[in-house]
Amino acid sequence: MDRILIALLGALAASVLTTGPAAAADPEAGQEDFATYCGDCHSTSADMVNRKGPSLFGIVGRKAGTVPGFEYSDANRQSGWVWDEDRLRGYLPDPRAAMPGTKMKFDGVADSDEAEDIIAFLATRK
Amino acid sequence: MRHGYGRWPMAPAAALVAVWLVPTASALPSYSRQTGDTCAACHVSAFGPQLTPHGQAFKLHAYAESTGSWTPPVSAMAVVSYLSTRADNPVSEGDANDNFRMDEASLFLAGKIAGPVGSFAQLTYEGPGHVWGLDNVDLRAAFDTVLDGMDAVVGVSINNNPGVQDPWNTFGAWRYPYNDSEFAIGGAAAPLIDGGLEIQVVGATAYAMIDNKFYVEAGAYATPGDSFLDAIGVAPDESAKLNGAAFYGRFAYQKDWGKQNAHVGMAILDASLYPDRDSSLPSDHYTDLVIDAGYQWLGSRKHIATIQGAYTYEWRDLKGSYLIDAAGDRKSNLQSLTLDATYVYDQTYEGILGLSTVWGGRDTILYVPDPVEGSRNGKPNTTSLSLEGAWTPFGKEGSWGAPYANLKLGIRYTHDFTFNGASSDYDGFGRDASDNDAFLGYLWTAF
Ligand code: HEC
Repeated sequence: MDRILIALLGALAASVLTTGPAAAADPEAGQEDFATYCGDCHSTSADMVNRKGPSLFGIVGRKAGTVPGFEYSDANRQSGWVWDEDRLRGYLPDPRAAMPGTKMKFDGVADSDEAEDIIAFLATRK
Repeated sequence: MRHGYGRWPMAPAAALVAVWLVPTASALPSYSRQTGDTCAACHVSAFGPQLTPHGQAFKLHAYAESTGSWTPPVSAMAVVSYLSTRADNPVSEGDANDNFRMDEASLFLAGKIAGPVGSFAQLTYEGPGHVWGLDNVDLRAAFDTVLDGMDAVVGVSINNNPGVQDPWNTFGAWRYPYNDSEFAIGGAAAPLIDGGLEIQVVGATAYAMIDNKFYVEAGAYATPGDSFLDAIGVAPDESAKLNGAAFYGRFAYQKDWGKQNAHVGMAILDASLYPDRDSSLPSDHYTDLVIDAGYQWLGSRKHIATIQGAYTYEWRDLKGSYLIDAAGDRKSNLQSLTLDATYVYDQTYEGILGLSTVWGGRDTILYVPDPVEGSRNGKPNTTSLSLEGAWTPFGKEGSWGAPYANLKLGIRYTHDFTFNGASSDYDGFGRDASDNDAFLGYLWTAF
């Protein structure tokens, strides 16, 4: 009985995972989308290089405005945000609306699938 | 510099000055050090000069954006090339054929100077002539503002070559081909805006890029005094002399969708030049209207494709030259069309196909028979097609030696269908257009 229940729950969980947004996000596609939209300004390499924008290595879960050596805007540095996946989800479609005063001059990723893929890719860079 | 620097009545001058520019500069490592950006972020082929929207934004922001910490705004560049033409060139300033030379070495003051002020200033040592001289200079200041609720970049540029300040690569200083051998054989005519005034003038323009869509610019150029020209390494008696100020105007509309972008635009140059620099004569009047367009597919940068081109119509009223019998017609025109398509794989392997054609009315005084560089029938018509392949091993994320090691190796074959008015015996001395077909191999490095 227990086994059947576990199997059923497992199947249910699997179906949720494969149809839900988390499973749909594809980090490999996200890597390409990152190169398209973000790569001019951000690096995700482990040696923490800053470009026009700060390094995004380990960004998921990091406190905003904390990469050493990068001159953030006050808006970013003092936001008190932590870049978890939900924060990124709210930020990426229109960064300047989400964080007025940011110096990230980027119009945003309009396509939510692309944004999800990028977040999934960023989550692997740690 | 490019295939076909101009010849208008006072032109040997401009031609001479034009040889400074082999080639015009490209991705500058000092910019990369200053911004932390890779060369590939700003340039289509990780080397340049063709700009991506990111590179255009950097230029429009006066080359002054930085990560905050100071880096010396200094770069250097050297180019070595090998040129072989199908038939020997008996009037070449180098060897009659197979010229293998260091074309030039350049030093750049390039980057943020202070606050919103930055520069692209090139000092070039020209191999064959063994002289240092000032090359392209673009000194700017810019700031971000909001105009009518739209983001805008507003700036001024002080420069010495109309068009060198332009963010696109369709006409003038930055169009394809991006480099050439010092000994390349150029056609008899080119519109004035295509390098005819470079380095010989000083001008100021003001510009605005509004909402990242509308670009407007206007300004004026004048001829500096002889002692100034002397000081920057331009022989005054061989340079163009403007009567008053020349007007430059530019308008363009662009759209950037992230993966791809496109633009259409127009530019105007209106200038009066004294024939033979003689200010007691009436001046010759040139009005150039350029219509240009470009498209870039950038995607994830694995496969990049671009296509761009410009059509130029030049109205000429050669009042002074006509008076002294240096031109057969007072009123005439010259037209040119250039088109190039580029494909880059992995920001490393590049193929370019380029078409260039110039045509205009017959003038048997302006264009005279002369070995290699002359015209038998008095027409400037020249059409050529070139195919280029290049390899840029560095300049990307994680590249070896970044941001110091930068190298581009390339080969180009150019075929001339017609040259100075004809395909066979074009010069009146038995030379065919295809005798000028050229193989160029080059090694271009910057650090
Ligand atoms: C035009 C350059 C540019 C582009 C393109 C760009 N960014 Fe940024 N980004 C910046 C800058 C500059 C900052 C610093 C913002 C500040 O200090 O206000 C920044 C900050 C950030 C931050 C906050 C980092 C921190 O340490 O607090 C995140 C997250 C971020 N960007 C993600 C992205 C993603 C994901 C993309 C692509 C979808 C992207 N950015 C595209 C320039 C850019």
